[in-house]
Amino acid sequence: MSSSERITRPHPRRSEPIRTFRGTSSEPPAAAAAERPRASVGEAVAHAVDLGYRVLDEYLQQGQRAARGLGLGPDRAEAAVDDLQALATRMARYTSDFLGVWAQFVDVALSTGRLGGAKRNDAPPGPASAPAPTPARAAVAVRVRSPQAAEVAADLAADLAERPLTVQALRGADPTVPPITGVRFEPATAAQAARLHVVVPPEQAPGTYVGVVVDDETGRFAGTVTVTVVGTEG
Amino acid sequence: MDVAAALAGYGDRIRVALCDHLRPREPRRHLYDPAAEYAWRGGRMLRPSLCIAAARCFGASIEEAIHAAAGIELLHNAFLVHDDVEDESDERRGRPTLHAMHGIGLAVNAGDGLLLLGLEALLANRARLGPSLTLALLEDACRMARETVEGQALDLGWRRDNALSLQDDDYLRMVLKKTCWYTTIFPLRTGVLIGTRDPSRLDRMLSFGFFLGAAFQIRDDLLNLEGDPRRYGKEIAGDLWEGKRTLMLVHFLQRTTAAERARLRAFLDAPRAERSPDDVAWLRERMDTYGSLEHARAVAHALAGAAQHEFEREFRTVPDGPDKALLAAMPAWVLSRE
Repeated sequence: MSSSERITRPHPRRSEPIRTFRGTSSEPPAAAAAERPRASVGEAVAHAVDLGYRVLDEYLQQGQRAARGLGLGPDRAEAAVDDLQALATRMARYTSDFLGVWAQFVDVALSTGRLGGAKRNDAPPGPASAPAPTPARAAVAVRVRSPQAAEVAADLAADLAERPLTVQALRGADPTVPPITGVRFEPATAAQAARLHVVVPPEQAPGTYVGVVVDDETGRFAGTVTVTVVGTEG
Repeated sequence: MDVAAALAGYGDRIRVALCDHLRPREPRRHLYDPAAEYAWRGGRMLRPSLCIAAARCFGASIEEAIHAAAGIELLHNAFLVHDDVEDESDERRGRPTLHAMHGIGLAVNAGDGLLLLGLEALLANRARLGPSLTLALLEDACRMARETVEGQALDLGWRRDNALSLQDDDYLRMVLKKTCWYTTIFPLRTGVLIGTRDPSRLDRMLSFGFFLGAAFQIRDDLLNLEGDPRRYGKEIAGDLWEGKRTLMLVHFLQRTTAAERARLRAFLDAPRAERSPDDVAWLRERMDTYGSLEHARAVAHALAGAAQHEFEREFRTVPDGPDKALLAAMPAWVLSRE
């Protein structure tokens, strides 16, 4: 066999690992947009839901301001405040609660090819009629360094606990508040459970912050981490 | 859950009520017959069915909700008539639009008439519902109408000013107002109001309605590009011809090269009559190349998933039954409809 006949692996067009989850890459120039790897379904989903809740939050805040301006009674103003607080909490929880629902949803959709649009005439996917069983969750030891009281929740599938994982910056409902970036995941070994290290800066504003966990090797969604900064106690 | 069958069942009841509100009367030829045109062309009666299902979930009877449901359908028809004029659309439910049949003047007037008929229908059950609940229904109808026209203003304004710097969140804000309020949020709120008689907690339907309505609109926009012309009922690719800022166009706008942007700007700047089939075909091809339809499908699935989540949260205390099952099945259904 001559060297020209050798079968060789095509030269990769990328020069670094593709980690396409939210926040991991900056936008390339527009001219190269058509050639870049498209956003994964997981990325588009997380982005869309995040955006949806932000739009709702903004809308409710506008309504609340308008209600105050109109001098509406305390019942309706209180309802608006309750809605805002409930929404903020839900924004924090949606990735753990909702993505479980969504995972069922997409499992069904993918099985019918609907997400790719290949088979559009199939019967509707039915999360209500065909729910998937909830997957087992991993045991994760959490170490928190925070001068403020904080609650931490990690939602991670059990079969991912031994994999190398990256936790994206934990973002709050208010896009102007800096995210929590000091979050690191330590995979489980034979000797110890997976560990999650969280560092909350002293100046971090109280609120709930959510970040997505990404599998370093596959770039796929692996779970979520939620930190609620309660504020300085006492 | 057979959503189509459930909607058909509700639809039969709603059409009976519509017969009362759209009964023939003078001037028939120039007002009431054109006003009834869209209602008798079919349609799934999605909006009034959501109202009835939500009302029954919270303990109301169908008789308590039926006139409000009919009012919602009449208001929907009014918006459709005006929307078709504003968008210069040619087809609605498989036939020429009302202004194409009767001229813009009569069509706009028929739309105004439908608005009034819709409000009358909301008032029709006041003897059973009582004055304070009826007033609350009207107040919420006013809010819905205001939100809808504000959303429509955004949509039309973007087209008139040839807005090219739009992002996904701009699109969602517009859809929240223009589509979601009258398609899902208001029907659900009306049903909950009739069922609970409590106007203080209506915003609990906002999240479910928003996510469901947004998924519905994106699916509708996708069908406009790739639907079956025999089943879709509107002009295929009509949104491209109209320069409508759909999620797919917004996605493409964010990714254009300088040359593509210049061509797109010129295309969108031109009046609809001067847009060429070649340009429309080019735009569609670029959307395919950039994965704009794929992106929109993924977003619609995401929002439908969020709708499912919000439904389970807000309706968790509601006893199981066919009405709850119908609402639970809506997120999946909006994605699968043809």
